[in-house]
Amino acid sequence: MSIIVENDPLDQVDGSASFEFGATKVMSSVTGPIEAARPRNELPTKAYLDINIRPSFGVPSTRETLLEHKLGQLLPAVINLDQYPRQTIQIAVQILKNGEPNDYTARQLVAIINSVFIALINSGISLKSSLMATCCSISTEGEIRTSPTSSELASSVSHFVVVYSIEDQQIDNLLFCDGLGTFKQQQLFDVLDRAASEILLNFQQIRQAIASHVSQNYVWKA
Amino acid sequence: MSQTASLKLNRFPPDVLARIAPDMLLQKYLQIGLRPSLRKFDEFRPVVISCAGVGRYEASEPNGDINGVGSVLGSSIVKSGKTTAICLISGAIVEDDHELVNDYRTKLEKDIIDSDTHKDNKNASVYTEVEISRGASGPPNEEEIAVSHRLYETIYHSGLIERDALRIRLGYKGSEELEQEFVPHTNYSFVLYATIQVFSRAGPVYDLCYGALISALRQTRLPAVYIAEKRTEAGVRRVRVEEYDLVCEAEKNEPLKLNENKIAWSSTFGLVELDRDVPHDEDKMEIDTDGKILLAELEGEAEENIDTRITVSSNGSTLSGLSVYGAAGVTKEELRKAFDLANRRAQYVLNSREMEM
Repeated sequence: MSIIVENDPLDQVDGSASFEFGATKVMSSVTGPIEAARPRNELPTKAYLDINIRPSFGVPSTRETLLEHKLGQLLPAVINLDQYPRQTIQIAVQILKNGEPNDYTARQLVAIINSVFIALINSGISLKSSLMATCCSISTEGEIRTSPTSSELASSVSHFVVVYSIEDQQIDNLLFCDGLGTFKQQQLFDVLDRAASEILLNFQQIRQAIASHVSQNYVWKA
Repeated sequence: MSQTASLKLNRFPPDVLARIAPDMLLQKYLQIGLRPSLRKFDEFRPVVISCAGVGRYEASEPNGDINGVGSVLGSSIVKSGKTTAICLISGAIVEDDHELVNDYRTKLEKDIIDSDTHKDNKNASVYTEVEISRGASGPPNEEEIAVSHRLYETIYHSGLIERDALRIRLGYKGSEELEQEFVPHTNYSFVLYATIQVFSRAGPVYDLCYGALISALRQTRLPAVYIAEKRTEAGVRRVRVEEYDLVCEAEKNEPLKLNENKIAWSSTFGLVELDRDVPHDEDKMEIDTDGKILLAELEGEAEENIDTRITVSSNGSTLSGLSVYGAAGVTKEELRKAFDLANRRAQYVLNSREMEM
């Protein structure tokens, strides 16, 4: 999969990034830690995550709410929320290109997770580990495809979004896995293995993008 | 003169401790090999599935709709522990624009070529609305929306309902076939809606909602639809206006066709690590595991805080919807254990007498 990462395209937020792979493109921004907007969101022991996802066309629907919910399940596992008590971290995501049929969200979720991760790094918020997402599909013949295209997704029997944490450039833990369609237990394990090697391969590209961005930011220091 | 200050130990009943220190209470129970609900780690709650019997075609049931004019096409009640979920399926008729889009007469040549490369999904789903009663009214919260949409997605991608099963085959009143020249150009389909209400929830509600939806879909009967005859008169000189009155039969109906092998049951598991730092009594220590403990069907305040979870639907051997997340990370061994339990649970529930109804 060829990845195009743009670091800090927005200058009015603390961190932002756009992530493009294949026909899918997403832009994310992170603002925070900031003061809680509502007293209700002021959690005594940890930061409140305010996640907003906007679709590529039309108004947000239940589909986007489910994506926000999934992101809300994943992010507490990687952000050190207890370092920012009573504060809010705002995450705004704009999907620019779907790149998949309307009833699917796999490719978009992958792009959302990866762009939010890079935006979080750019914003300087404390993270527990690196992470990366990828998607796989199983075709009617039982063949596993990583980063399936729109038509491959539409003709697949099941598809998965897999997120692994990365430590010391090695795959660490399975943080998130979302599967739809029908599949066997063994097929899922094969998918997890394929996803892990795919992530290991592609994470280098993200690492490079982040490294060059950091060296650019600190060019005055040299 | 000396004064001794004595610290009095605070003692809390379990339900109070569950609120102020849920993780502590959970650890205390886990140490003696039990859970706050007094179930074993891999023990599920018994589930009772019954037919609500309020549907349009269930006039023989005590609560049935004797006039046959209601819009409820299928219903179910699922009880598990204290929690009850009631599911009502209703329907509506839409013009099948899907068909129109694929009609080659409305397409340019380029579109025809494009459409060959694009395969349409033959699956359909049911639009679900979940309401978890919590003593206050208001718009649905994020959890309710997420559960509703997840149900929609899971049913859609599992292939339980085919688009064909919802297609309306128009006829005259009675058993007569519609003559070819009166067949309208547009096709019509049913869309299904489900309203699920959950009462006195204790723990994650997705499994129960999924169960209620599946049971209600199995009960669902679609009405026979015919064209009101006055509208089919075609004038000789008049311009023919395509306007139909579609009438749903009050008695004639047929069950909704489901892909039986796709009927599944969903199970949720929590993964929790035994905390050795929590003070414990060595003599009472029942378990000596170092790994994480898999808890089936979370229940109650103490277990609500477990943030590593596995949710999976199974038809007994094949898995369908899967959701895994958690800070602690999930290993394959833990997944395997969860899948085995989910398979066994699905076999048991789906083969039970109640599911047959």
